[in-house]
Amino acid sequence: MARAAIEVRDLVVRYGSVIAVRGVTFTVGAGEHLTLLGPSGCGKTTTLRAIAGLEKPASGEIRIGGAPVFSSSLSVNIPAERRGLSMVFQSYAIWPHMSVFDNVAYGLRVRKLPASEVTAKVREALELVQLGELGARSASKLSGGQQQRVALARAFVFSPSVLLFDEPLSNLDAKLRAEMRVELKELQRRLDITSVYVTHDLEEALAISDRIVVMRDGVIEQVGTPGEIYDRPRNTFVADFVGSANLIRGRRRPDLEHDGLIVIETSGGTLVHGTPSGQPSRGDALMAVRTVRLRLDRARPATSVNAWPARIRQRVFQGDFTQYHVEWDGRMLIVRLATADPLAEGDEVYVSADPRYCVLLEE
Amino acid sequence: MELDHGLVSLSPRLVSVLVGGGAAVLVLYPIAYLVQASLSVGDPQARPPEAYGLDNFMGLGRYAHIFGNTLLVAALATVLAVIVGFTMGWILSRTNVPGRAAFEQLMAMPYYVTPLMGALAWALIASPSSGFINQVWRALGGDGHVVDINTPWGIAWVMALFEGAVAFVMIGAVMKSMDPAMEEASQVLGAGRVRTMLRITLPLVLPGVLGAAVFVFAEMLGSFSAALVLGLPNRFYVVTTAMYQLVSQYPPRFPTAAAMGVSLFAVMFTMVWIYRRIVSSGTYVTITGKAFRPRVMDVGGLRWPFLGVCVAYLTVAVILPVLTITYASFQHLTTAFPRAANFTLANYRTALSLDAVGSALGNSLLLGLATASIGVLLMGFLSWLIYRSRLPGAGVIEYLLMFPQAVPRLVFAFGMLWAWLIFPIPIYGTLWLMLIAYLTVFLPLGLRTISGVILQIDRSLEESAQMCGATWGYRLRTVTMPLLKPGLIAAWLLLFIASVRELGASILLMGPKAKVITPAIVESWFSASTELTAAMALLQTLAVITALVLLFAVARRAVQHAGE
Repeated sequence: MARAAIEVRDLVVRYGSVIAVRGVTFTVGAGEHLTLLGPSGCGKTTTLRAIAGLEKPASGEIRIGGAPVFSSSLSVNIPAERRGLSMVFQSYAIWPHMSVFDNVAYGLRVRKLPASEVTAKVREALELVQLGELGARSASKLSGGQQQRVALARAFVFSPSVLLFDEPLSNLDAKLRAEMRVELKELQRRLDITSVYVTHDLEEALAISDRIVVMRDGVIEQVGTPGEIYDRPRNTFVADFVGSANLIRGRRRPDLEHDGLIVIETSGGTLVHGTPSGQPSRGDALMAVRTVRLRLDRARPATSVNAWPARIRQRVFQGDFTQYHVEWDGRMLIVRLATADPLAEGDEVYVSADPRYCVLLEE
Repeated sequence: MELDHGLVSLSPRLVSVLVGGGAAVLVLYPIAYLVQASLSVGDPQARPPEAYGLDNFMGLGRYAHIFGNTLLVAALATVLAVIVGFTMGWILSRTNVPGRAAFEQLMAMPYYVTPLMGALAWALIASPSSGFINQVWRALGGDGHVVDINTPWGIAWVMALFEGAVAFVMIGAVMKSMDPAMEEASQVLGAGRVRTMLRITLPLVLPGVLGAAVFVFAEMLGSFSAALVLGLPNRFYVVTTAMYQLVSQYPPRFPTAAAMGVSLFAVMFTMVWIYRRIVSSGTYVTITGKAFRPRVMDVGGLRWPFLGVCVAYLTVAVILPVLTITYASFQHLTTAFPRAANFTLANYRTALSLDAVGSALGNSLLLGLATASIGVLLMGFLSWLIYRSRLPGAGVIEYLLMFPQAVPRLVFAFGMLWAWLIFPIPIYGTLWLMLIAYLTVFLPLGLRTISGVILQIDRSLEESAQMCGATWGYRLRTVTMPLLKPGLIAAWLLLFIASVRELGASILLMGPKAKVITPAIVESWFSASTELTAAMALLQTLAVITALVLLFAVARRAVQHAGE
């Protein structure tokens, strides 16, 4: 299948007086799977729709496979149907008046493929999404998960150069969503196609992306691999939005810093060693530590830094993990542990953290 | 490539501008001529006007009583209609009255009876000299008459029976869309049923009731047929009937009639504007678009009286008028006391032998077919243009197209009469002019019906077709139109029925060689016998039903063939 790179430069999209996207720039490599992640209203869907050609940007440039499909300076705006992309919609947008087969065949028929080829390709696509038997069924008689698969098959059957996903899994229940996530990833790899995926669900973004673009209020907050986004958030917003993190405020202590580590001192006088992400701030500083990167031990661990005595105040059993609220340095830290050996409320313990996971945020 | 793409993206815009602009011209062209005629102060027959001035408006003072009559009738009828609508709305959506679902369906019936049928029937039932009720009264030894339908009260009564069904639809929708949790919250906090009703329910539905009242009042101001049939014998005129009289008398007084029309139009326009303000204001928060299961109140033994109210309304609005017309159509001379010798088929024989009836009915059905078919295509496209295409200025186009709603059809037809008289293509006095008139005056009806369906169709259904590479024409044909089919069929039916029974516009625009049926019925009412008129009215209804049944049979067969 064709693979095309996407370049988005200085993209601005307005709805009347509201600016939904305020100058966004990023690229998607050929064959790369990029995810736009952010809370609702951050401009991620608008950005995707601008790439699709369903939204007309106010200014900026979008190139697909090197050729501009929108450019305010060149006054180019290719209509969506001629951009050679495809898209899976949040609502699936399955046409209820057609059969499953006709839904999937639509893009092929638009391209005037001979009937025999249409049949072969639709059959192949339906096999790929495990709906081989359902071609004749009316599309209005499908379950949510089946509709999702039809939408997928319809989107990739005509070999588009880029596949766009607008929160495709958000209407499924949690269990089906987890299954589809895996299937989607498998399908993406199999099709070997460039894709842009929009979601507000962190786990989804981490699972299926090569790279993630985190957005807020129409601007990009951070771009990185799932690992980078998770463990090395650049600022409070990303740290907070991307899963749960403990934020620790303190003053920089450059005099104590060594081996590339950064040290801050909290108001309670506790020293925390960490590593910078992006441009480290001077003076007052903020550090983020993921709740799952903290450890609790009954005995003092053998590390030279970042091990502190603490007391367990509350224990919340949540199934896959246990969440502890730990009194540390005059405040609460949240720690999530998957260990079976439970610590009791009131226990005296040691909290420790690898400085690699204590990230100094930009402010 | 660049040039080619430029053309492709231009064409839908160009088509949109042309069609939208064309429809706007269709609407505004007659209005402009109406205004021009109202400002003509030279020779009333001169075209174009010799001089312009406001004299016609100044002269309207002489007709103050007619405006008074109009307001009186409209106000009476509105109060009555809103009471009917509110009562029926509350009973059918909030109480456990037996047969609720069936009654809700039946509430559409008064709309199909039409004010004209209602007026003819109620004239037979309650006219002062020969009305059935008064005949019975005198037979019982009474003197004079107990009821008189040829009064403002009588006209308002007939109009309210018809418009009550409209008020019911509007108010019932408000009552249904109210979240029952709001009332439940009041009861949980300790308020009794009556207190809840007064402090919670009533204030919540009040904006909806008010909106319905304003809408109904505006419709009443422009209504024509009941006031014509019931008012003319007593020389009781409202604005529309007075305009008709001024235009059809000799010599016609076009400028005065036009000034009246413009004044009425101004008032109705204001009313419709107020209605829109009420509907769009924040007080309508109970309407969330969420479907609630309305809380049905167990009214115990009161169920039976409530059932009686429902039956009573349908009786006076539907059953009684239809029975009366049917009965009269089989009589030599209609009286309240049936005698075997009085029954006859002569009225039908006469009606069918009259060329006026045969050709008029044929013309009406032909016009109905044409209006409905062209109308559905035109209005379907316009709805899509307004609600889906994101055409700049779509809001303005919508406003223009909904314009005829604020113009009584008679007033509109007057503008068209004036406008198309001087049109270079000679369509005046032909069915073509009436086709154009119908398409224009029914724009709001068609747009409302179709847009209701369009708005229910998620935009992404069209966008996904676009992402599959379909051009806008292809999308329209394969996705948008098929999804709209139920709405289009409903709109087709409404347009067909409305066209065949149209009176206000037809009565002014019909030419001697291109008659249509409803004005012919009115003509017969005033110049021939009551019984013949009744037969004609029934024939019209039968023709509509037969045409619909035939069309459905043909359409079903066609669909089955296509499916094989």
